[in-house]
Order: sequence, then C-alpha cells, then structure tokens
Amino acid sequence: MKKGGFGKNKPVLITIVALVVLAAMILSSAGRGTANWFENAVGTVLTPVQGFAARASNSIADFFRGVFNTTDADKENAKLKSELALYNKMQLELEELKKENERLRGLLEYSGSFGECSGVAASVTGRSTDIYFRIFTVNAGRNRDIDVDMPVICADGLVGRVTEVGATWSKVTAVIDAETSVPVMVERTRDNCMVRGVLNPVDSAAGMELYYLPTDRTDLVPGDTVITSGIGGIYPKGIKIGSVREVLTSDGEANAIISPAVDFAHIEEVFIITESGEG
Amino acid sequence: MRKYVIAIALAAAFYIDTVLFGVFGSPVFWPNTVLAVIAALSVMGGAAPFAAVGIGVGFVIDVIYNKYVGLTSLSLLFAALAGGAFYNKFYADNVIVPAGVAAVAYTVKEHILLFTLLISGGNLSSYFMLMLTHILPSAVLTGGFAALAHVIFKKVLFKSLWHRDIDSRE
Repeated sequence: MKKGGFGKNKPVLITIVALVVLAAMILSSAGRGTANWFENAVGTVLTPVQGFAARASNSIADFFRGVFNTTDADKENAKLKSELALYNKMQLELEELKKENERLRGLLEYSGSFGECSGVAASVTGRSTDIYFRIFTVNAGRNRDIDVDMPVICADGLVGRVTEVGATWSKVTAVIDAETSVPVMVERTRDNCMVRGVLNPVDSAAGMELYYLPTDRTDLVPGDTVITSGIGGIYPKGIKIGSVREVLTSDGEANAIISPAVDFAHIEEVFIITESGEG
Repeated sequence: MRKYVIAIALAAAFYIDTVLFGVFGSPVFWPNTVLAVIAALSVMGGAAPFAAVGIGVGFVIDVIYNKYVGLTSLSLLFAALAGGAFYNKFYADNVIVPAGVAAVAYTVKEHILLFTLLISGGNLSSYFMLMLTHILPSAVLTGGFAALAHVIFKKVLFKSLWHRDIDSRE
C-alpha cells in the first residue's frame, strides 16, 4: 500500500505545529506579569537548585583566588600547610559574611533614606542568558507579598522593577534593559525628563540615554546626578539612577549618556520596596 | 548509557550558559553551550529527538532566566533542524559541519532576539558594533564548542560512526 501524503509530510507538519505553539508561547509571555501554573512549578523547583549552584560557583572561585594569594612563606612551611589552608577557608567565609553584612546594612540604610518604606531583601539567583534583555531572577515571590511593578533597589541606586512574579521567585527588569523607560529628574537643575536603556555591547558603562530634555533651559553637564522623579507612580522619588557621562546636542535636541549608578555585573542582593510610604 | 551521557552533557552546558555566565558578570561574548551541544548531537543523531530535547531545555531556561518564554526553545529547535539536515550526509571525522551549524544557528538566534527587542520598542546603539563585538565572536566560540562536543560525542556515543562510509549507504 502506498504511503499517504500525510506520512511523508509528517516531520514538516510537526515542525510547523511546534513553531506555531512556540510563537503562541512567546506572544502570550510578553507583558504578562504572573507566571502560569506550569512555569511556577518549573521555577519553584529549579530556582533553589540554580541559586545553590551559583553560590557554590562563587565560593569555589573565591577559594582558588585565596589559594593563589598565599605567601611563599606559607608554602615553604610544610608543617603549617594544612592549618593554613583551613585558616584561609575560614577567613574567606568570614570575609564573605562581612561583605554580605555590609551590603545588607547599606541596603537597609539606603532604603530608609527617602522616607518611610517597607520591603523585602532578596538575593539575585540568576540573570538572563543573553545581553538583549536585562532580567534578574530573585528568590522572593508571592510567598513574600511581592507583586508586579514593585521597584527594586540596591545600596547604589535603582535596579529596576518586578515584571513577573512566581510562587517563590520573581523576575526583575533592570533599568538598563533596552525596553525600559524611567521618569527622572536631574538633581541639580530639577529638569524632568526620561531615561531609557540602550543596548550597547561595546561600552556597558553607557547603558542608558536621557531624553526629552528641555533644550532651551537646560545646562546639563557631565557629572550631574540623575534621580527618579516620582512621576508615574512606580518608582518613589529620589532614588539615584546614575550620572551624566556625556551631553549630546543636535538639531535643537539634547540627549545625554548616563552611566548607571548600580554595577549590574556584580549585583548580589536587592531590596524590593513593597510600600513606598509616599501618599 | 547514551541517555545518561547526553543528560550530563546538557546539564553541564546548562550550567555554563546560566550560572557561569552570571558568575563572570555577563561578559560581552560567551559561547552558547546548550545550542552547541544540541547542534552537535543533531548532526550525529538526527533532528527529531534533539529538537524535542532542545525545546524542553529551552523552555526551562526561559522560565527561570529570560523575558520571553519560547525564544530559546525556538532557537534550539532551529539548531536541531539545521543540524539534522546534515545527518547521514558527511564523514564522521568532519568537525566543520557541526561547528558551522552551531555558528550559523547562534547567529540566527541572536537575530531573533534582536528582532524581538526592536519590535518591542528597544533601543540599539549600533548594529555593526553588536555584530563585531558580540555576535560574531560568540558565534565562533559556539562553533568551536560544538566541534569539541562533536569529537567527544563521536567517541562516547556514536561509535558506529567511526567506520561509516557514506558511499556504501543504501
């Protein structure tokens, strides 16, 4: 019996169906704030594993740095070698705890510096696997009353906002994400304008662009600090975004390149503001 | 045995792409090791099984780390289909084919992500610099990783390829 056309075209049909399903998934995941039950299950199971792997990797990297930094005297002393290796390990752990303590203290002090606000401290457990979308995964979700659009800060300034919430995890879109815009104010001149992320693979320090500057009145100079303006209701007023690196003017329009205040490549703990205390 | 080796390889690639990428501060160029492994495996073992594996692994990556669920799955599906197109069509010691497939698939994946970014209103400083400093170096690294994976998998998984003579195929 001759094999029918459906049998011959089966791989093509399966591929087309898979492409359609994937396209539907991509479109449905765009702009959605809450993870569905299946994503929740996958994320809840795998996020702690991933967090553990990240911490283990950081500890291993720190251990090898400590080993290579030992002095020649230590190496020469065979009798004290094992005790010294143990001492180094304990010292690394202590240093790590001290740094974590300092970061968390700084986070708590910074969060209180612009009025009464309450929130949740969380650890960054993952980052997006590409450079196009700057997404962080943190280990706080609905279990700690996190909701979409809550601002996220660290001791250095504004990190971003929560864009997706799961049962025990959340995804934070950074302010340097190329799709993000934040209403801001230049601290010195009090000019209101907007800042948006820019995909710049060459210079990560030029991650944001300031636009909608009033060209007839502004005297923006490099070094000026840019803070959130509070307009829009998402980000409380007064959170540091970054500083002006370069002012660009053309055809009567003025833009500026902003260096972000936060070192997004090395961020480890964040503070999610659940209540800003503003009216 | 073969399934365990593939699972371990994918887990190691997953770790490199997700955890290590973050430990090194999200460097400008980095090989996509999951894509490289899928491309190498599909060249040697066919498109269908590794397309399914790629979709599943891509889904997990997107749920945990990325913004749009399905983009990584789409990229890995493409890599598996591209690699599967060369299944049974080359000498087993040819590492150029899996390397080339992985590099091309990576480039396509990056353009899919870039297109998604641009249509959703994102801003790009320079396409030329993006290609020069990120996409092309990363594609080369991904191709290199796929070649390495091909050599390892050939010895461990697909011993029947050692003495294959495509001219004697029926």
